[in-house]
Amino acid sequence: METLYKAYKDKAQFFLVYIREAHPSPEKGQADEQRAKQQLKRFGDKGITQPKTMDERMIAADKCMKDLKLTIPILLDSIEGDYLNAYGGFQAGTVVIDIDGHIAYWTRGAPNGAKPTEAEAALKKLLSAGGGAIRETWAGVKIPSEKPASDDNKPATTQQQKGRTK
Amino acid sequence: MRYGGVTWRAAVLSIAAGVLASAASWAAEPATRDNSGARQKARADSRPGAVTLDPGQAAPDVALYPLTFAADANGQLVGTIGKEKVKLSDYKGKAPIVIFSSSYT
Repeated sequence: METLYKAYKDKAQFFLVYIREAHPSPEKGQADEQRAKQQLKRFGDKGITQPKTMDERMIAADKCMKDLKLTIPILLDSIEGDYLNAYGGFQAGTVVIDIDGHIAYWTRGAPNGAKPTEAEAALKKLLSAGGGAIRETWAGVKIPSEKPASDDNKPATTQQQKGRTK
Repeated sequence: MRYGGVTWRAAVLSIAAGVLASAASWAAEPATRDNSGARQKARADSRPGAVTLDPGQAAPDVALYPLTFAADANGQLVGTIGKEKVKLSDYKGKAPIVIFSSSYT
């Protein structure tokens, strides 16, 4: 992530959105305290409980940034999870948005990871096409940039058109 | 002694048969032993609240506060919450955006 940011920061806007903790330290008396303790044996305890305020989330993000020596700009997801609700539901992931404001690449992330190599490939394609002309699915099937008049019965194209007119 | 020998032979044969049956079942159902993460992905997709975004779809617009830094009395940088939210749509027509979402834990 940091490597990708340093390589392309002059050509694209990068953000790390700091979302809710996936494996926070258990709080005393919480319903699943024992289960949380078991999970921490696997993921390690960083001493961060689930933030309940934006200040607590900011402190966790600050610690993360300093410990990992990150330089990528960080945005803080709201406690209600505005970003996760819009882009991922509940897990970490990666998104590449083209210059026109359309999704060029999206992956849910966990449990398969952020896939920075795939994100880089999508970004390279965008940049080589001027930043906004590529419309390509994961399967490599190109989506027409304009809907042909006789193509009304194609559901995939119709869905893309609907998305673009939002 | 002979009786015991027969029992041991029967036990070994039944274990071998069990192993062969398991191997045959394993080979016959490759989809159920997929280690590629497809099952995990399917499980994640089916969870309540799961969002799926397709290439070409308009990116949802969100506005979030940035993490900024200010120097304390000792000159050390301390994290603070930025005063103004950053809106993703503000970058439309200016630059592609790459977003990673994660937490420390």
